Amino acid sequence: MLSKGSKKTCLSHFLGNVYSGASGSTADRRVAAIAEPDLVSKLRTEYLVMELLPSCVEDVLAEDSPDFIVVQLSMLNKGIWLGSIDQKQVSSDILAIQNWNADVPGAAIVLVDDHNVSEQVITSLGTEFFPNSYFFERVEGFPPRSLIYKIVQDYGLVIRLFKHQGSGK
Amino acid sequence: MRVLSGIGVDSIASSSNLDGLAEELKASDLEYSKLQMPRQSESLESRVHDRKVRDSALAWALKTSFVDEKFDIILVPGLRPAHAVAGDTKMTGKYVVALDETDENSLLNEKFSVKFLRRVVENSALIIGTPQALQILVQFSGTGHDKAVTYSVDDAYSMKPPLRRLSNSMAIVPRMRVLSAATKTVLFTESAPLPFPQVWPSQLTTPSIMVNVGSRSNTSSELKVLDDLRSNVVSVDSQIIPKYYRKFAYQLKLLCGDINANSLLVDSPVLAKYCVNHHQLRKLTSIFVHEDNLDLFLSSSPRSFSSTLLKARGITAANEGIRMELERQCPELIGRVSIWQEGSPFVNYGMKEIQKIHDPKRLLVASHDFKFVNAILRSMEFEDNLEIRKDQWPAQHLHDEVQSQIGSEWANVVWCEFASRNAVWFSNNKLPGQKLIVRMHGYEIEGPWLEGVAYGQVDQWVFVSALLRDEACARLPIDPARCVVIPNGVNVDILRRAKYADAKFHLGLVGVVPTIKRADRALDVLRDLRSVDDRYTLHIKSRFPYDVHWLWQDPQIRDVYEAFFERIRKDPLLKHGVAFSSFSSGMPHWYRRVGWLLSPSTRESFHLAPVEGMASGAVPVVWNRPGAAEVFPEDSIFDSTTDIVNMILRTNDSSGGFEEKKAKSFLKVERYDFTRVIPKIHSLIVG
Repeated sequence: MLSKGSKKTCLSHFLGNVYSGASGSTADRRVAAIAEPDLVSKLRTEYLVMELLPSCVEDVLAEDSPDFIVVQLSMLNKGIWLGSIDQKQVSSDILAIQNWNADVPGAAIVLVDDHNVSEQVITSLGTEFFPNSYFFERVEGFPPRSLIYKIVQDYGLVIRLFKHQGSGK
Repeated sequence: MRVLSGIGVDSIASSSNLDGLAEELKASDLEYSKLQMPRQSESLESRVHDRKVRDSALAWALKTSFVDEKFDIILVPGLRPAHAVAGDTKMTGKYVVALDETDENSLLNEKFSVKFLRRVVENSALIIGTPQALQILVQFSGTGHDKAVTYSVDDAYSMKPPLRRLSNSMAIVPRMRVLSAATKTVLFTESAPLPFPQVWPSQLTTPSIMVNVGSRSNTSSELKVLDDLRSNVVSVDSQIIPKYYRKFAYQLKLLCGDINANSLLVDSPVLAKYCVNHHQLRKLTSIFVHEDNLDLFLSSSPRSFSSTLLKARGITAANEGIRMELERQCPELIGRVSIWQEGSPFVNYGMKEIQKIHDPKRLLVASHDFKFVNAILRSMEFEDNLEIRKDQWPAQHLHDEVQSQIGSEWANVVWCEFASRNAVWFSNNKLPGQKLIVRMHGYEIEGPWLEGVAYGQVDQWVFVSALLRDEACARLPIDPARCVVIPNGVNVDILRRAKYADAKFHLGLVGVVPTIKRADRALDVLRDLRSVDDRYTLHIKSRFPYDVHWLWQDPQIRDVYEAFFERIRKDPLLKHGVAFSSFSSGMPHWYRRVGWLLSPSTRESFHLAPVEGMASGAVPVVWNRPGAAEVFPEDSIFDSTTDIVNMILRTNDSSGGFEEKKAKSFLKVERYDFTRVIPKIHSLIVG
């Protein structure tokens, strides 16, 4: 029987929403993600990963907080996350990530592969973000495109990068 | 109601223009008294030249008499006396200001502070006056447009705001919609000479417009009225070729909008039928029955005859004989037919309004769940003659009896939303003179508590569908004569929003509790769709079953929901395809993502969500069940999951298929729009 006061975690539980890693992984760092399955797979090779689900985010972050959150913006305009960002308005789940990011600076990482999302939303979602359009251009204040491309290809590197920089938790 | 009037106190107020109002007061069924100045004021009489003293004395005398003799309302002539009365906060809402030409001149030639004027207006219940005086007062004070009632018939048109379309006219407050001698009326006669000569001043008798609708060259512009039109009555005298009735009705609508008309009086049976069935025109349309058109009305089928006349805002008979004939043919018309009489059929305008604001309906809505009624209450909260309070029950079986008692003593109308234990309590504690309305939504019909309802005490049962009404009447001791079917309503304006791209790949389901909602059927559809295209997603907005204590305690029901969640968790086709969302006020936004709104329930008396979905531009998908055809379009009802999957895939594969279905569904939702449903509820409450 689940305890009273963890109703949304209850939904998370019913939907099997738990941290898990790739078989044989000994990782102990936890990553919550809203990302494409292949990126989630890559993350799982290095970390314990929980795919966030609508309606579960706030309580997951409050009761079972991850070390990092990875948000791939294109995911927020399709599938189960459709409608979670509407111009400057965001859903309660996204708001929960924004609030979490304010408490744990640098631990929310945003992959900006959807340029329809307002900059205000991006910056409030995570202070570390990586645009990957204009591949051959260099954008002031950001790493070279080639590196971003590599980061996108191997997202685990992104996580390690921030881990080594000590910007994480 | 007792009315004390300061008008006609010869030595104090010489309101020649308002004599008619005083006469109207006398002629009305209100208990009318003219103020008699007290003896001690005789000394003031000698100082009558001192206007301030005079006005203060009048205000004082009115207030004293109001309190001592327990009047309900006072009629205060003039701005300054009104200002003096307004100074007493206890008089707020208890006085009507009457402004005549003297006040008009004062407003034009003297200086009044905005504060002075606002005080007069804001604290008053109503302001009756000449158009000029009202216009200046409203303009200068910046308030009171909803309280101003034109009394004089002089040149009302010039006081109207700039030309507006009919839709704007609909936004004016209810009291302004009442017909009066000063109301802007469009009168259409087809078969009879104009009745004006006997009843209207001569300047109103000249037909202002002649049209030939049968002519192809005729355009709506021919029905537009010149800006300098002075008449309050625009008459349209024409023979219409039958096939042009619809067109003519449309032109009349434009005309009403262009001249900002408040009423439309028609005598043609066919045109009347069009007008009373038009969602905007019906609010304006009154039907005029006279010697020449009576047979035409009676020659239609009894059903058509009564439905047309009953839908009209008003019915006016040319004489008593015709009224009797109408009432004989359709007894439901008894009490609703007025007689065209000398002075206009629309007498006692001001008095009716006064009566309304001083006999407000105090509505108490008692329920544990206001989700279906909140929007309706919001739309009625600004009604002048309606005060609303809520008696919120924490649960169906729990309430604060003291609070319910206090609410009941305050209310003259009680609305039990859901026929739950609230209906039991209020029917057994109904107060004399109180009206009790109970609205049943569906599940209550199975409730064992219904045995406790004092059925004889319920004045009106409201059902959301005929299916539910029939079932309730068969199973419960409900008097069918006290039953009315009013469907749930939706606010189309609020719900209709642009869909997100790819919404056609998104299914929506509102409510998974209780088990008759059959959320498992939605999973069946989703699984089959995702086996073809993984863009298909199911969005579920609902209370979670574990939040419903009584339900979660039942092991069998709990098993059902645990199996439901397990299926999502374990089936790879479903795992990333279902999004849950708890209930919130953001439904219009939520609907933006939904292209197909599912209704898999095995039993529903109405099912509001798919109707809301239709209003939002989604296509309803309904599993066949009793009563489904009463609410939903036939082509949205299916017998099997396979049929549904095939239909969705086929539609989305075809070019423009989804858009076409969407447009068709939207057309069907109009009958549930608030603009149609709320007036029915309102008339139940205030009627």
